[in-house]
Amino acid sequence: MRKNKPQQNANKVDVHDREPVKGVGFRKPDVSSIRPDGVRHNTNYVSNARDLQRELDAFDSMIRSDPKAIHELYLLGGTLVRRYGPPGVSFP
Amino acid sequence: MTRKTDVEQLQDELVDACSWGEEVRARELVSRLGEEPRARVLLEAMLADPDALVRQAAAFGLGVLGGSASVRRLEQQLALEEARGDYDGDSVVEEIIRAMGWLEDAGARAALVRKLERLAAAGPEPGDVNPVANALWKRRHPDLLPVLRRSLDQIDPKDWGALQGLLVLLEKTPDELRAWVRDPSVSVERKTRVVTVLDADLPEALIATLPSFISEASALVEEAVSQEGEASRYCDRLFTLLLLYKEQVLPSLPEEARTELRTLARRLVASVDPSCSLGAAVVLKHVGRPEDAALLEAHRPAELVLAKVFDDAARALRGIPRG
Repeated sequence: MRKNKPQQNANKVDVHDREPVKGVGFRKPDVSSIRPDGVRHNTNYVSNARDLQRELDAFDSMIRSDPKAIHELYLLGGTLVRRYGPPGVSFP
Repeated sequence: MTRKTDVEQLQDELVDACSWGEEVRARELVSRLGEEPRARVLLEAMLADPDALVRQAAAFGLGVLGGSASVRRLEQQLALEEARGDYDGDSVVEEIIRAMGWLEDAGARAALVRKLERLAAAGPEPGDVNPVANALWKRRHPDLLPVLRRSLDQIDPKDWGALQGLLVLLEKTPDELRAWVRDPSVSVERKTRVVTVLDADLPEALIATLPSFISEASALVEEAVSQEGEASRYCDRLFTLLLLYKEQVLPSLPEEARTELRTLARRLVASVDPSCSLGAAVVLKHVGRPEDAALLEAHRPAELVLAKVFDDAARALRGIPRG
């Protein structure tokens, strides 16, 4: 498991946003792990509900950086805000 | 607002910028912390914070300040974070390694070598060695070769990760690298590792080798279109590299290589590997022609975030401003 480290793909290699927003080329998922089926799973929590757009921009950036991973964004209370699952990958 | 509050506000902003990966803003905030030694004292105090994000920001800041004092303090902190043995400590370790990659002081290379030797002795995973390989590539020197070879001898080959790419880059001249990347007897996985290490730093002398890397991708294109595997991963990483350094690389590509890159990207927007097809779409935005817009629209993914990349590329090729 990785916590607050630069985003990596399932091969444990750093990934970058090929279309960075405001020059931010990489993100740090709050928690990241690799499932037994080899799919990377990034989980993020909204740290500042007053700046949700920033959270959503970061979420989209993580999808662009690694469209083969599962990405989730939750409110701190546990409510799911958004989920992305790559084509052909089941969840959970 | 008191002076102390101003400083605390700056520290909070630095932590925020680092945690969001906003490197330009973070560097500017470090410069606003003040002149030496004031900034160094503030950053070193942050290294004692129980919050790992604060310690990460402090490591970043000391890397920006530079000098042998930063190297010494960061290596000391590295030992403390390693001793924690938890996820928070791991995250600070990685930030310290990244910071050492920027430090021009010779001590930074020596500290990174000591880190590599500790990792090799412990039996690392690729995820552990990759940040060290990237930082050592930034601090490259021929003296690294013996210690790198020794470390690779100790590590299980399946865990070599980016160290294998680093070895190739340290061993070969640009001419040798051109021939190596076109050698069909070399595995595609090794070539991918070389491309990945270049993400960390693409020296001027190696820009002229990129047409060979593009030609190699062209040789792999059939496999990369139809299968998600080593060939698509190689092309994906090559696209990432070219886009990371697009301002330096794309205008200087010889016409033949640029045409080959456009042909490659046109083929790979249809790749079954979504990461590879996305990279191809962004590359095509930069090297394509207006008639390529229809191709992008034909292969537009269903998912909205990814579809937007294809839409933006098609609009750019048609000369229409972003919607």
